[in-house]
Amino acid sequence: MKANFKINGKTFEFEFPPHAKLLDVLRENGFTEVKCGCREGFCGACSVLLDGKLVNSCMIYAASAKDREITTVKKIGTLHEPHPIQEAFVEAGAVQCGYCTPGMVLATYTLLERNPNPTDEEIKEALDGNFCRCTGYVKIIDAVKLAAEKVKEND
Amino acid sequence: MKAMEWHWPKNLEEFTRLLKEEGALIHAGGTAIREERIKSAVHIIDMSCLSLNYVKKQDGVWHIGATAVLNDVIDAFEGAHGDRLLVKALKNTATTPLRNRITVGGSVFLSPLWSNLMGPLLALEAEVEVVGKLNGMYKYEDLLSKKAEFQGSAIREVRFSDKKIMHYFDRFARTATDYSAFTVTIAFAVEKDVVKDAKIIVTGCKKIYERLSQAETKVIGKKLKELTPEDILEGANVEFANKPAGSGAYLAEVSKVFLCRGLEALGRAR
Repeated sequence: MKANFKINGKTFEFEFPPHAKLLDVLRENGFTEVKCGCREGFCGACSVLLDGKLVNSCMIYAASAKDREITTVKKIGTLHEPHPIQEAFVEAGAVQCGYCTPGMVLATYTLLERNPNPTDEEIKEALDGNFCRCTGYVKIIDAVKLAAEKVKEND
Repeated sequence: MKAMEWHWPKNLEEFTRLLKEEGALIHAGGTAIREERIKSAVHIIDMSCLSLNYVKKQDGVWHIGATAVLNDVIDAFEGAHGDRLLVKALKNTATTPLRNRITVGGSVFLSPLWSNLMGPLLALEAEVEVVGKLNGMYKYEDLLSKKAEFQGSAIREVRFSDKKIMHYFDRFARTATDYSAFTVTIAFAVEKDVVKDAKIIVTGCKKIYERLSQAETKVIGKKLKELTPEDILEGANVEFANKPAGSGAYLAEVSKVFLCRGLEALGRAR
């Protein structure tokens, strides 16, 4: 089957099997910043924003996301123009292997959009669907707090 | 074999017509349908274009559309300073990204234990509006007890009154992100410190759910400060099967502890 998706502001038409997951359709079409982790909706490596909401793309049938707006971490910032959240993750030492980072950055992005001054508890709640198996979570929480400061400075 | 086809009906008439097709599978938008099931369906009817993603209160009644996701419910109830029973239950369900996808319609129709919705919706005396083979309003309790009769139908909306209740909800799980092994819901309607109505519900047990009717009777008419959990729960015996979280006997004991905690908490909250 064929369907249109609006990804990072551009419209694409992709062909895929009717049972394909959004994760696979995105990766097969070059959006490899969306990482494949557990494929069971637990780890959050495959996080994207679907109409602005954080979701696990491994748990979504691509057909059910047709004509919807999808945002990957590449829309948030690039290597040469990183978003303050991405800068904060680097500065706080919250990145080790980096595999979970795109999902963490997107989870932080949606959190700070809703709540610019999150408490530690609110940060833990917002990132509850994103697992890191390298650094632990102390530096990640530090990074989110630093990101909140940076985003406020930039506004 | 006929090739599988996705449909995105734009209105309820088109939706109910498609429901009659052989091999039709409803996709409310959530995460419960496994890939093998999708592969074996002939028609997959996606509900996302039906404008049922609402949570609203009208004339003292909450209306939750089938495609509203769990986080929509949490946001609406927190924003409206409404009753927190559902908020407490749903915040313990899955993770943030999954709650952005799991729909109320799918969770109510399938009523998996992990959604944590069953106890609270029973306590709130929820009703469901269904379309398809059956049409109209039904008690949620009926949907649970006569599930086979509802095959070929879909949830359109969940409704319950915005009653002021005192409540307790807790669940037992091995870790914060683990599925619930059981849930305990206690809801009291109270006037001047006297319990006028009570619902005490355990889910995850051998039956789909247990309502502790005898315990409820003992509570009604009592002042909150007079509640003595041991007396209220005397004779209450909820049976559990063995589960990864513990043996049936163990879960039965732990559920009693949760029930005692709940009754004590409500007694103290007067």
